[in-house]
Amino acid sequence: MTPTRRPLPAADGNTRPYWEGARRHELCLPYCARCGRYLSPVSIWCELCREETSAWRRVDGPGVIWSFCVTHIEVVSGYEPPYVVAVVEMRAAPGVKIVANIVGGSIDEVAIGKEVVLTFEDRGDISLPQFQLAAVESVS
Amino acid sequence: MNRRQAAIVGVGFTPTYRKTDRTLLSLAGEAASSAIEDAGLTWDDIDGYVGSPSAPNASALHADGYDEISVNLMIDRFGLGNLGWSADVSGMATGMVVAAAAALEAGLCETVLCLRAIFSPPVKYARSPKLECFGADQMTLPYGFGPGGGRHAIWLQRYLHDYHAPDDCLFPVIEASREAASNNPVAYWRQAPVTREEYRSSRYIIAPLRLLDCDIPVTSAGAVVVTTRERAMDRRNKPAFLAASVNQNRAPDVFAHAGIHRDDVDVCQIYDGYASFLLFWLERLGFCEPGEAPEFLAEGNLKNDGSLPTNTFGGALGEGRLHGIGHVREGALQIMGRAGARQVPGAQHCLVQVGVQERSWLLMLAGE
Repeated sequence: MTPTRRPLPAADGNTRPYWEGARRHELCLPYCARCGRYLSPVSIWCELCREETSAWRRVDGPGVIWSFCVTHIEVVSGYEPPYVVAVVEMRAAPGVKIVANIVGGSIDEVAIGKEVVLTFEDRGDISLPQFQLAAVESVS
Repeated sequence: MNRRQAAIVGVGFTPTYRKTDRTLLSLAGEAASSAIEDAGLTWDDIDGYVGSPSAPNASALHADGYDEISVNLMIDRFGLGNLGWSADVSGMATGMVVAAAAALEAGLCETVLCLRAIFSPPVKYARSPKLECFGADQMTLPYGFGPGGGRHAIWLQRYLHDYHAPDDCLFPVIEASREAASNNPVAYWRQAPVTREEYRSSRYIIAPLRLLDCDIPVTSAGAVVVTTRERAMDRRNKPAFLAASVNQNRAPDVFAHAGIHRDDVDVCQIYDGYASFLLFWLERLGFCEPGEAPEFLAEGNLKNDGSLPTNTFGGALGEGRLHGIGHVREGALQIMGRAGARQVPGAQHCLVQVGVQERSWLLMLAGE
């Protein structure tokens, strides 16, 4: 049985740094060269400065689950329900919402406010930023 | 700022089918003809046209005459040839009325037909066939995200978390929709009351959204005729004047632009493709404080005999997924005083919002 293929992103002139970074297993985000704030990877424009941006920077460190959903129907090839899609904010780039799956853990453990760490899923020549729940530190 | 210079003077609609052999073109013709006739006009009187053709489903073929009806097809198939102005606008049925009013005010035409025809596909509605994802899709579809209301589920999850709202807080929306739909002859769910237990056991589509939180895809068409104030006064129906239009970012300004206070609103039509939309709009428009919408819903305020009758025709949740032309039609009927058993007595101001949180047009329809 051939596993069903998951869809692939088609990088374009605006998003190429994002996908090239992901290929190196780095999360890169655009930022406004004028005001310095990070922008969504699909942004090409700082809405505050009203200026096109082409500056990118690697963002490290943990993220936090802003919210999530559990999909119970088949909407996309290669995704067997149920599975989690989360909106994650990187601690180092607050306000930028990144859509990804939470991989490797149980769905029941996913919750708003939990810390997640970056991981990458390779699909052929393309890599996708993904997240997994951070190991819970014991509180003494 | 609107000056009540344009008005809806006729409405037309077809039956609501889950699946049908009738083509979308046939339904478009029926809706258009009945709206023109309802206005006491003929096809020859129409010199402006605006449609909202885009098929919203991820499985859409975007085939003109099959799952979409373009302005070009309206011209080719119905002889709608003598136009001073035409346009196809994206998504929102309310946006058609705004566009029509602008064209009328600019003097480009005198009588505009606005049409929304929508198709329920024989394949899975929300199943995306894409394997390569371009544009905005590239950040979402490769993660199994996008179709089926994922972002609305994500927003609802956050809302439930922030305000500690109960997990069945949307039940009153479904309850009120089905109740109101019982008085709407074209509603798909006109004889289908739902209990809280049925709601709670409804399966998840994209959790926390349940099946019963989603409107049902249907094949149907609706149309309205919009004309100038001067011409509206000669028509047989009482006109439903456009007193204000704003987009989502200026939503709370809709009252001031119409020259009224929020408390002057008699009835609302608020887009309910997902029941969770009501939480957002009731708070955004100031009918409730942030976090208070679940309690407001639980008090029964949205029912047709409640303090803020909302979606008096059953909304999309009761009537079917018509992407807002039902909301526009009902808003006009309420102002015209023609909503029958659903009529809010003496309704003078009806708020009509159609669209999602980040993309909407809001109208204030007024009796004078």
